[in-house]
Amino acid sequence: MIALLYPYLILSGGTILIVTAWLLHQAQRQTQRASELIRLNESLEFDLPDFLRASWPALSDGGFTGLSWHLVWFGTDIRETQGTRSSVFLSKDFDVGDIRLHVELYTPKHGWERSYFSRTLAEKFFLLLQMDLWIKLGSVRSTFEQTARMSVFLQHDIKNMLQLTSLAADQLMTPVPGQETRLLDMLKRSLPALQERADRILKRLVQSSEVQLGTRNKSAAIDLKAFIGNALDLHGLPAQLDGPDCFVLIAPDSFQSILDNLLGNYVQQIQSGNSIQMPQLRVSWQIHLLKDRKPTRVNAETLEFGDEPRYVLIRLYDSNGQPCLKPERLFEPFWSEHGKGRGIGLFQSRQLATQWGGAINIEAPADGPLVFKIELPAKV
Amino acid sequence: MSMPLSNTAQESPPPLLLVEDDEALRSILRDSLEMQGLRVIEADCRKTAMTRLASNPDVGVMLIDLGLPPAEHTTAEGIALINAILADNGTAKVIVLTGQDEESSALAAIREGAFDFLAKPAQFDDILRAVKRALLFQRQELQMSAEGLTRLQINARVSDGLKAVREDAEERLVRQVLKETGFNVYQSAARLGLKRESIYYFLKKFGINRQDS
Repeated sequence: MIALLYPYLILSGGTILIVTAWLLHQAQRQTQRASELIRLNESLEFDLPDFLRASWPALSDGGFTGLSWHLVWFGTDIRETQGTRSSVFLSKDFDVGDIRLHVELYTPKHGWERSYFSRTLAEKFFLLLQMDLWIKLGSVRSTFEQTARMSVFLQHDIKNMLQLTSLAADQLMTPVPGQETRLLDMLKRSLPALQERADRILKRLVQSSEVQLGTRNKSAAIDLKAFIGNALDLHGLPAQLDGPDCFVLIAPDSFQSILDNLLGNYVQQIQSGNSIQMPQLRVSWQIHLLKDRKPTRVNAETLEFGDEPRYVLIRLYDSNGQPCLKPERLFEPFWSEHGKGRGIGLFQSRQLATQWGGAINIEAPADGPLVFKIELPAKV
Repeated sequence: MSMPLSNTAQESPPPLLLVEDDEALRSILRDSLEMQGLRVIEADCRKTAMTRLASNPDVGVMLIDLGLPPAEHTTAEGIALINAILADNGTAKVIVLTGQDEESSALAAIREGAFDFLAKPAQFDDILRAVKRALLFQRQELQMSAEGLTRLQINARVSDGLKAVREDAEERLVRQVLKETGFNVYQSAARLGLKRESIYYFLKKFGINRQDS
């Protein structure tokens, strides 16, 4: 009796197997389409209009009959349709800042399973569009913030320069009788200060563009101990120095900038009162040879016969310093703990060190002081 | 350019505190003011400014920059300095000379009780005029004080009602008189027409201690 049911059971089992295999195949196809869309978006650098224009082939392969969108891109209206429209569609609206987008994806009148797969692919497509939109807005906002912050910093220096010039001019135009010698002394002191200020502004602008464009001056052999000692003196920081005699092989400007940013940041921390105990700055270094990494940007003139470029690892820390609570933020550009700085100093230092084939890293133990580790090309 | 500063009183004018973090600018400002016959005491940050004030109690006029370290690019330190100066000496005349955003800085400075506001770059004549005016006001107020009159400045929010204004006035007056008498409770009570116990009550109520005054 049961034998009579065998053909039906085999037929049912076979049908189930075929349907499952088909569904799996469909799922794989849609996953493939979604991956194609993700790769396409990456290759277009997350640019929303370009992605909208280029995504149709992958969507068409995914079973959609048409794509229509209406984009308001910073005040400009753009409408496009690819494929053919139909009465069945999935749609989504986005409205953030100066960008508005309405997208419609048309599907043929399929059964439920195709509709399910189309919906899954459409949701991924919409998610990518939303991501592009936020990336664009984020980059626009951060660019404006960066410009505004830079402008605030330059304004401060330029207004002081103007004030200085204006006072000097006022005194020159109508000197106080009997005070001519003093006026001359004043000018002798103020004019070099004015030049130093203009140099500083120019240097800041040049450094900023150097970091962004990756241009560099020639490397030189810098006496590490003397250079660090001088930088510490400039910042009025007493410190314990410990390390062998060696020469750092990068441009003096870059090294000065790296140290200025790190030490300036440290001074700011002390002045903010974040350090409870007496500051006790320590700088130590050791020379090591990295087998898998050789300095590549060292100027040949700085090397003598037999010199082998190595690396110097400089550890800079305050033995009485507090643990760093947000180590992940230290090198994030435009992040400032109290909103008092540009938030670019440490980021810039790290970029400079990297450009010379070096690195800046940190050790941030939960119960110990923050340690900056600066690795730079060097020779003994 | 105006003539060298001439004081209507016989004695030389009291020293002026100049608080500016930019060394070059501070130096030229000091020279320019000194050439006009003023005595100038310098400071580069809030902490130094308060130390200088503590060791020079005759300073009544201050010319300060709002952008001071460690926050040169905001007004926070300058505003905190104005607060500290006026809490210590209610009759001090603070002139703000700053390169910070003009409108918001001016509003903040005036709210905290600054006497005058100048935006960088300012003409030296304007700076000198503001300093002279502040010295004149300070001299007149000292004269008023000698006659037993104390001038108080109160920022009153109407919605806070009379009680808040009265308390603010009480606190400022008690602080001012204590400062003028060198924290002498007996003399302060006599000047204010109060019992000594009342002065002790105010000291406790407003959390005033000798260092504050």
